Amino acid sequence: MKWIHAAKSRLRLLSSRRSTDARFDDEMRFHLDMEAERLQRDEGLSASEAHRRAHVSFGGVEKTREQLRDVRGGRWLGSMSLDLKLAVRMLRKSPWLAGVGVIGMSVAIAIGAFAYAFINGLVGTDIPVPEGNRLVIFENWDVRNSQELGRTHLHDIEEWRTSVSSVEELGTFRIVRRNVISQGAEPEPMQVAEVSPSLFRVSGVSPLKGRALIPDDDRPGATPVAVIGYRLWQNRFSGSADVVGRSIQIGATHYTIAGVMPEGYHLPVNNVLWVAPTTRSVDFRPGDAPDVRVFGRLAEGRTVEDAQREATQVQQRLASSRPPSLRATTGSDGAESIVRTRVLPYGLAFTESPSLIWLLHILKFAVSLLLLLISVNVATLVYARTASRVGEIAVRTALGASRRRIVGQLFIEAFVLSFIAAVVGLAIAVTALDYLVGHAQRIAGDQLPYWMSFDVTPGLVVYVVLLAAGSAFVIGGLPALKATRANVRGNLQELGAGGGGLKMGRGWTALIVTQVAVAVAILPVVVHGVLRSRDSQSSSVPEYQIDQWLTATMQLDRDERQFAATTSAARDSLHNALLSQRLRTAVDRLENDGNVRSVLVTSSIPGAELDAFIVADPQGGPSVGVAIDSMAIADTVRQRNARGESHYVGHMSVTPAFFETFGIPVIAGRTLDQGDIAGATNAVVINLPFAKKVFGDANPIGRRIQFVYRDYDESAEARRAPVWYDIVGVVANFPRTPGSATKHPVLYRPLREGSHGAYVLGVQVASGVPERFGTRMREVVIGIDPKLRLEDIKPLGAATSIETVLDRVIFSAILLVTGSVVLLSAAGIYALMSFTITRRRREIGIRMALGAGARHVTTGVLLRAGRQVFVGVTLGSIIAFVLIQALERWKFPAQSAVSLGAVGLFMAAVGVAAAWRPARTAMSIQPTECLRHD
Amino acid sequence: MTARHNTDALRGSLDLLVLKTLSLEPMHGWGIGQRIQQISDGALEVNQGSLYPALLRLEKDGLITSEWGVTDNNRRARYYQLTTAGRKALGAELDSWRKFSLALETVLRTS
Repeated sequence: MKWIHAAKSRLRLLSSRRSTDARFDDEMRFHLDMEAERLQRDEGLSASEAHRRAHVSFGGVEKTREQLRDVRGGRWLGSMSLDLKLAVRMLRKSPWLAGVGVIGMSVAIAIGAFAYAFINGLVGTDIPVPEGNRLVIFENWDVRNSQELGRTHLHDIEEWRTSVSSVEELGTFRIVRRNVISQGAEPEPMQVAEVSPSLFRVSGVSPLKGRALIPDDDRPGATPVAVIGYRLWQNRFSGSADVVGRSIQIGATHYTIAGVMPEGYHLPVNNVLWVAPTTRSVDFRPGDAPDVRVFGRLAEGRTVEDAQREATQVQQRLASSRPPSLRATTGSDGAESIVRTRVLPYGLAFTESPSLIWLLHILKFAVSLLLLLISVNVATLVYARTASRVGEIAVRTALGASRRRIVGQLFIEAFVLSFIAAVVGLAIAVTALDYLVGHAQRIAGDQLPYWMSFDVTPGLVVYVVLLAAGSAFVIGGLPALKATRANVRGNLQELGAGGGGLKMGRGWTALIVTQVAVAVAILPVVVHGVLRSRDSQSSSVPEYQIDQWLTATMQLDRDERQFAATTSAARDSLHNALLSQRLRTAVDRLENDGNVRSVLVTSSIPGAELDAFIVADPQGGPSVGVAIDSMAIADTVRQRNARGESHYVGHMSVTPAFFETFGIPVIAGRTLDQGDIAGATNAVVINLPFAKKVFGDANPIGRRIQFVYRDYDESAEARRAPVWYDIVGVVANFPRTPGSATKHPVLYRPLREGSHGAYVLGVQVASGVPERFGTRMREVVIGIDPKLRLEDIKPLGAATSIETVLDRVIFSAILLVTGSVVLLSAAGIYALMSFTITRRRREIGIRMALGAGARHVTTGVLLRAGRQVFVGVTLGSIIAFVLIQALERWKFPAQSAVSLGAVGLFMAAVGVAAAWRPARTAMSIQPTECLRHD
Repeated sequence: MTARHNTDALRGSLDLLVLKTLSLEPMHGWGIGQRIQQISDGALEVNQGSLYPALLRLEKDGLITSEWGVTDNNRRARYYQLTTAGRKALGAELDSWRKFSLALETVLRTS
């Protein structure tokens, strides 16, 4: 504890320096008075003699005071506060430098801080339960494509339980969505965690009321019980004291509430409702069971590596007994298991994938590089100014200031600048994070693990301060070191002659040229990107009266046990058939509702289609290859992307009524009809942007397309034997939801019953606000079957996905970065030009003394500046041209040529403006004045 | 032993003397100097100029604390007091001083 006392005393002494000085004065006065009194008393001296003797025996008062100051320490504080005052004064003297520097760096720091907080939030692995760091997740992976093989977990867990000794209390969990119906509250779909009772034991958290799940609850035939979370208890049961024992309906099953968990407990992901597992391995074929996740707790003193070692042994032992669906042919060895087991710390298993984390860390590194670039830019500005202060530095050095002292002062000036930038940057980052996280929580809600936090942490603040200190070093430290290296005498002489002392030869020219080139190279590319996205957002929208529509996704609880002992594919189709049946009833009932004008069924929300890669048949050429499995598909896509053959498009399935109800005009051919729905044809309809993108000016009717890869639940059979679809019609563009790209190419396929696991119901409300109809819609659907769920009820056209929000944040970041780069470039060019011309004052003076005319001199100066800008603009244009070409697959759009020209002109104007003022100033100086010093 | 000689001997052991003096009761700077002189029968005379830096050093190290108080004759004085850490440090210093003086004594006796 000694160090705590010491630290406290030190702080007290340092923090009250002035009062400490006064204290010593009082104390010494007391001492001298006491000593004088003693001398008067003991030795009979007169008052004045006693005081004199007291002073003599004390020694030098001033010397003691100095010694005391040395002991107290903090002398450096005094010089630092002086430096700080000087720094603030210098920054106020050159506000443009401070302004430009702060803006540039704050943008970079904001992006750095945002990336830091975002990445750390995402990879946050601290599970807020006692010994949360001992929790682990077991995962099986398909070694061929890194896909998780959740369907193998239910059977493998038995092996892990018996053979992996380094992990205890292994259990499963599975998050499903169910309608939750209880007295006194509106039914709503919620996440339900089907968990092994051991989850509550490994997390070491006791229930607030009643009990948690126990092994008996997990036995076949046990009475269904549920444990609820604090939030649910408050919201649905108003915190009622007698909640334990009451009934809650989850889907079609009635559960008795067994207990309430305390506030803040949300394991396994972000849950407030727990029931025992509903799936058992005995009901399913090995490797074909419903997806579950497996958790456990590391045994005392064991590590994740120990668990991994044991899990790998189990994996090798099981390899030979894997069913054929989990084996792949490998050359001469015959079939080999494709399953690999991985053990991960709990939190890490919820981040998309470890490679994503690496990607994010690389991003963090890239952001640091961006900051370095911007700092170098600001450093250039500062250097130009430091160079003009070289005389002042020389004088101070001559008067005895050490190099360290001068460098320190310049560093502090820079640090003040970057500190202000850090504060502004942190504020920007926090605002952006709040915006993003707010949206993410609204959209992803309880799917986001509850331990992920994107708040300002001490780590973040330290990171930002380090960024600021790093950039202060580049901005202030480096130029200061360079400036103080120049020799003092030379500088003093130069000072007398009216110029600075630093050499600014080819280096400056190269810097100016690079500055201009970088600005010219980056700007048109960004302008090009902005124009492209603006263009896609500005198409006409409201023709289709989207504000009258309410959409919701309809799903049916999947009872795995009902179709147990079949394959997962068979379970899919049986489930889908059941859903179709319910769908028909739902549509009937809704159509008969008085407030409903029309009902539409689609596979996804119109305007927010799923995306896929397609290829068109090359007319007259050989038919394109057929994709075999997901890896071959990925290869095909890669090859075709390289050749520019595959296209990224949206696709959705619709009924024939879709086009008519929304009044989407048919531009060529026909729309879909009942024959297409019945499966008689492979007809598809495309929209105008699709026709333009894929077929250009050629007629698309009669052409064929094929999916090469799509990101949704297509059955394995369909993937193995891709179908050629015939284009039978072209329709106008349906407006995409606000914020997403509007002129997106879309392909419409006939909606076949029984082929989807979820449908989107669109309801056109006859009167009133569509949102109000949501409750009624849910009532109708639950009335048909409590297992029928309506998710995500919202008006058509409401801002949708988290991707859109993220897009906006990234877009703003790009705009900010570009803006600051332009500003910095303009300022940099201005500073460099002014500086070089100021340095040529004497030369100009001599030339004018020798008879050169003012106009002649101005032209000379401007020409020289113009040459530098011209070289920069040319270089930058070449780079921009190549970049845009690469982005546009080697076609150069006309609008980019315009923006390129505009940016070039802008930079040239900045260069000339920068040269103009100093040139005028230089000319106004009398030759005699310039030469006087010689 | 004259005052001049014991100044050198004191330099290393001033901290120890101050801690020991303060272990008896809280005291002001002048009092500490007087007390050392009294107890040693005038043999040890503390250089008053070096007493205050020593006090500040001990305070900075957390071995003593100080606060304003009032003397018997109603004067405002800064009183120093031993902390728990200071008491422990005193024990350790005393031990090592005793060992040191014993060793010195032994050497001087044999030679």
